[in-house]
Formats: sequence, structure tokens, C-alpha cells
Amino acid sequence: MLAYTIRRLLMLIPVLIGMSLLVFSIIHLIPGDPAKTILGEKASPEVLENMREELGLNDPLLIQYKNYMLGLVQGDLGTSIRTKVPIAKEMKPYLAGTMELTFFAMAFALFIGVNAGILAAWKQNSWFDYMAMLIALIGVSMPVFWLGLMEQWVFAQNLHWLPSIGRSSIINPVHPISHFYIIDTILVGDFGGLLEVLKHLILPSIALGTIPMAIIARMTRSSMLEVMRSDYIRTAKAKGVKEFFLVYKHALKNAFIPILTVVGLQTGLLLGGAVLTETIFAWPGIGKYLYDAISIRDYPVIQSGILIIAFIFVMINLIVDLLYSAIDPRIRYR
Amino acid sequence: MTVENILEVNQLSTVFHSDEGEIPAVNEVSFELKPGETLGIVGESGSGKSVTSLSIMGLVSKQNADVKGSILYKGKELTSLSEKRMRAIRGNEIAMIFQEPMTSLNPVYTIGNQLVEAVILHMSLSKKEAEKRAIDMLKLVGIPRAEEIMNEYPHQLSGGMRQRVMIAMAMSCIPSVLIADEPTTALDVTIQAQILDLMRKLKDDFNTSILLITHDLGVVAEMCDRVIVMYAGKVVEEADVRTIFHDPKHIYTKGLIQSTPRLSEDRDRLYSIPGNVPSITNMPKGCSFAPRCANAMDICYEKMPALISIDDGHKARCWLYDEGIRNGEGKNSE
Ligand SMILES: Nc1ncnc2c1ncn2[C@@H]1O[C@H](COP(=O)(O)OP(=O)(O)OP(=O)(O)O)[C@@H](O)[C@H]1O
Ligand SMILES: [Mg+2]
Repeated sequence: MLAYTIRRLLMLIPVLIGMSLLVFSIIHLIPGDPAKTILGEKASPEVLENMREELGLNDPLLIQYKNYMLGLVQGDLGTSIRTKVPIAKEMKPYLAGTMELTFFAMAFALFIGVNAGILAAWKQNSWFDYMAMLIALIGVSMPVFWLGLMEQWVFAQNLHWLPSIGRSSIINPVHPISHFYIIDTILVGDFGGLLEVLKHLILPSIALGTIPMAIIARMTRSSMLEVMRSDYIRTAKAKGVKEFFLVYKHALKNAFIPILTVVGLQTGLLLGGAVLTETIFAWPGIGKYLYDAISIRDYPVIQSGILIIAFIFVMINLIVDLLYSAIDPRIRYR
Repeated sequence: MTVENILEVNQLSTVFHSDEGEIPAVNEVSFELKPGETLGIVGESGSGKSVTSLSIMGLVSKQNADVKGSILYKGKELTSLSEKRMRAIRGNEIAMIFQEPMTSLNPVYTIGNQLVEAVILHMSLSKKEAEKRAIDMLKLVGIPRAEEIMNEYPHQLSGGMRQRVMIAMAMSCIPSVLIADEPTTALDVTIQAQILDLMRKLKDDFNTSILLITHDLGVVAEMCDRVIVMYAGKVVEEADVRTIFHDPKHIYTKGLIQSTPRLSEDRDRLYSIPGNVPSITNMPKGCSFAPRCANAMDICYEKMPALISIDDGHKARCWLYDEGIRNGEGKNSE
């Protein structure tokens, strides 16, 4: 297992090189002069020349790539054109924001989705089954922006139960350490702040988690139905195992492989930046960060953002593969 | 209720409700099982052997099947027991092993986990004691390296080993009745003999009664004290094992015996019963065997014969042995 993990990590190297090559070429694939694209047609020649110099576009291509890779290896993602701040530093809080939101959205999606799927399969053809699957059907086809706006309208505007925007209260801002606000508030023992952070997480997590939840519920149900028909479930019944353990012990672990696949894919998608959700909830996340960069053609930021998201995808893939073998002993990688 | 019968099945009928209509898989089956006795149930595929055993265990889903009749275990009516009290009997007093050792164990839990679960369910033992008992059981069924096997997964064992594990699991709470549904069908011949030996030994050690389901008459000859023959959901003949082989009455039984290969016989001319088992949803009127029967009379196409007592403990469901018919009425088929 350890050997496999190490081997998979080593195998990441060519993948990452390939990705960086792709990302590096983005700026060179822009038709015409990148500096002009960034600054606009009316920019003066001096300003354009400065920009080219700043982006290193005047060096030979190979030198450019060498410099770019040297930077990457040292964790240098370049400098934002707009803010002149190193991107690695600038992106960190946004990345943490997205990760925190994704974590809660997926926790919500998994908890509700898996349990609803299990119950629906357990009580197949009952009214609960029909209702759950109807809701799941509505869930997968729900436009996220609409759901987000409705949540804000009901729970923030009308009921005043929950805050509708941001990651924490403006009056009592969180002092960032790791930029994961849950961790940061706990570290300094600010439990009032923690509560605020949690409150801010609820509405966007639900908006973001609803589609994964619905997909997971449907997946869980069909996977459970199949597993419940298998011989080893019959054996467990013949042993006198209680139905609860039949479902949650014997069946669920077997049914989990396809669920895990969905969870991995969905987590990747959410981490890749949920632009809509982050915009509606004014959530300072990677999606919003990238969106802003794209709208002003801040190429270094766009490049780095894509690289980071691709990297996250690859990592999630690896984690899912490792979890497969942790769940199912028949899947052993050598 | 007689004390000498450990299990008494009376007029057991199991009907499945399916989209194509009612499927009377088991039809008014009656038999009894004495302490320490091995009763064989033989019959072609689809004759209702497995459904009979699952009905006794209370494992046919009530959602899509009706089970009627009476099942007395040590004088206790099982059909009216609550699910909870039935669970206390399953695996504890009546245990079951299945045909498919390859799929009957849960692939994602260790052998030890599944054995210990069976022990703890019915015996008030600590985890440690249960583990010790599990290891003892594995040794008892002749598994080498029992301690190591405890930590292994089913896919790491051969079919024969898995069936031994199944037997160890079934016997771990010393049941009074062991239902074995084709326990050796999926195994190759040498392993088959070993498993049968093992079952015989355990039966003698624990004085367990065995209900042995098989379509292999060789297995019946080797293992059983008495035999019931099933055809299309009904018992067609019942007798002790010597009588079944030396003086079978029902044409179907005769056919079954003739179609079993024997060394002494001419190999080219292995007998096979003409015709096919009727589709269970579309039973012919009268005796369900009549269309395949060389001796069929008019009445055979009209009315299903009763199970007629021929000798002490020997019964056959055939008009040929009906008093009235014997005394001359209506033998007019040839
Ligand atoms: N869950 C079910 N739903 C509907 N029909 C069923 C179900 N289980 C069994 N049957 C039907 O009941 C009949 C008897 O099946 P059963 O499994 O008892 O046969 P069997 O004698 O054990 O055969 P085999 O030797 O192949 O194991 C078959 O026609 C089968 O199609
Ligand atoms: Mg069967």
C-alpha cells in the first residue's frame, strides 16, 4: 500500500510536467500580441513593451519555459498583473475558502445523500422511496443560482436566520492564520467567531451540495439495491443478523465503491471553483478569484489557477484510488 | 406435536407474486425431521428445493411472496413468530449453508470478522472468547493455519476452504438443524467428498439433524437416512434411502435413479427422462408429471393424485397406487 502510494506520487511527476507545459502555452496561444490583449488596443508602445518585459515574453521560448518551471518548483506561481502580488500568496486565502466550502458542501451531500439512498433502497417502493427519488430528480436538475437566491430570500431576507454573504461577520472579522476559518477561530479560542463562520457556511454549502447530494442519493440507492440481492446478504440473514447491521454493515461497505467514484468526481468539480455559488454568496473562493482574473485578462493568475485546479483533480483521483483499496480488499494495487 | 420430530413441516406452500402472475414455487409440502437424522430433498432444478428451505428459515421476502402452512420447530410454530424471535433462531438453532461458496461470504470483511459476528449474535461471549471459539471452529472443520485465516478475506481462499468456513460459521452455535442447500454442487469431486465427510462427522459429534438439498443421488446414497423427492413444487415420493434406490414407486423417481450414471452400465445409453419440467406458472391440469409419464392414464390429466401411503414411511404421489384405480377402474391409456 505504501509502496503503491509512493509509486503513484512519482507517477504524478510526468502528469504535472505535462500540465505545466499546457498551462505555459496558454499565453503563447493567444493570437497576436499577448501584451496588447491584456492592455487593450489603445495602450502606448512603451507600456506594451513594459508588459512584455514583465511577462518575460522577450526571452527565447526555451528560456521562458525554464524560468517558468524553475519558479514552479520553488512554489513561485508568478505575479499578478493587477495587484503585483505573488500569486501563490494571493491565492492562498481564496483556495482555503473554496476548500472549506467544498468540505461542508460534500459533508452535507454525503450525509443526506447516502442515508436517503440507503433508506430508499431499504424501503424500496415505499412512499419514502418515491419521495426521496422525486426530490433527488428535482435536485439534479436544480439551477444552482436559483437555489442560492431562493435560500437567501427565505432564510436571510425574510426569516433573518442566517447570513447571506461572506465567510464571517464584518463586525468581528476572523484573524487569519491558516485561512481555514474553522481552524483559525478554534486556534484562538474564539467560539463566538466559530459559530458565525459556521452560520455563514450553511446556505452556500446547501446550494453547492444539492446536486452532488441528489446524484449520491440515486447512486446509493441503485448500488444498495444490487448489493442487497447478493448471496452474502442472504448468508448474513441466515446467521440472524439484524436488519440494521445487514444494511449498514454488510451492504453499505460493498455498495460504497460506485458512491466513492461519484464523490471523487463531484469534489473535484466543486473544488475547481463554484463560480456561481461563490458569486451569489460573495464567497471569496478560487472560482471568484479566477473569474475576476479572467475578466481583466490577468494571464499569470489564470495560468496558475488552472494549474492548481488540475493539480487538485489529480490529487483527488489518487485519494479516491487509495480509498477504493481501503474499502475493498480485492482491489489491491501492486 | 411429537417430541421425536425436531422439525415438522405441514402443508407448506410458498407463492411468489410476479409480474407474470402467481408462481407456486412450493405446493403443500410436508415432511418431518428427526433428531440426528439426515433427510435428503432431491429434484430437478426449479422443483422448489431452495424455496422450501428459505421458507423454513423465514427468509422469503414477505413483500412479494406468501408462505402458508405450518413449520414446527421443537413443537414451536415458526410461521407466527415475530421477526425478532425468528432472528434468535436463525443461525442459532437452525443454521444454513448455501450452494455458492464463492459468493456466500462477504468480500469486504475478514473471515474472522464474519465468524465472530455469528458467534456473538447468539452466545453471550466476550470478543476474545468469541475469537477463540471461531478459531476452534476453523480447526474443527479442518482448516490449516486457522489463526492466520481469521485475518484473511474470502477471495484469498479456495472454494473448498470457503465452504469449510461456511460450515464452521453454520456450526459455530451448535444448531439443532442444519439446512444444507447443495453444499457441494460447486466444488470438484475430491473436495466434495471431503466436505461430505466433514458434515457427517459434525453431525455425529453434535447430533445435529441435517436437511440436505441436492440433485445428486450419489450424495443422497452416501449421506441420507430418508429422502423426499420433489417435482414442480410438490413432494412426489418419500421413503427411506434403501427403499428409494431399491424400490422406487413414482416414475419420476425411477427416472432420476436411472439417469444417474453408474460404472457398471453401458455408457452410451444413459437414461434421460423424456420431456421437460412444466413451466411453474403454466401447470398442466391434473398430475404435473403426466405429460412426461409413460404410464399416464386419463385420470392423470384430470386430477392431481394425493400422496398415497404404500408402506410404512413410503409414500408416492401417483394414481397407480390409489386403491380405487388399482381395483380395476379406468386403466385405459394403452
Ligand atoms: N424470489 C423469487 N421470485 C419469484 N420466483 C422465484 C423466486 N425464487 C424462486 N422462484 C421460483 O421458484 C421456483 C423454484 O425455485 P428453487 O430455487 O426452489 O428451485 P430449486 O429446486 O432449488 O432449483 P435448483 O436445483 O436450480 O437450485 C423456480 O421456478 C423459481 O423461478
Ligand atoms: Mg436451489
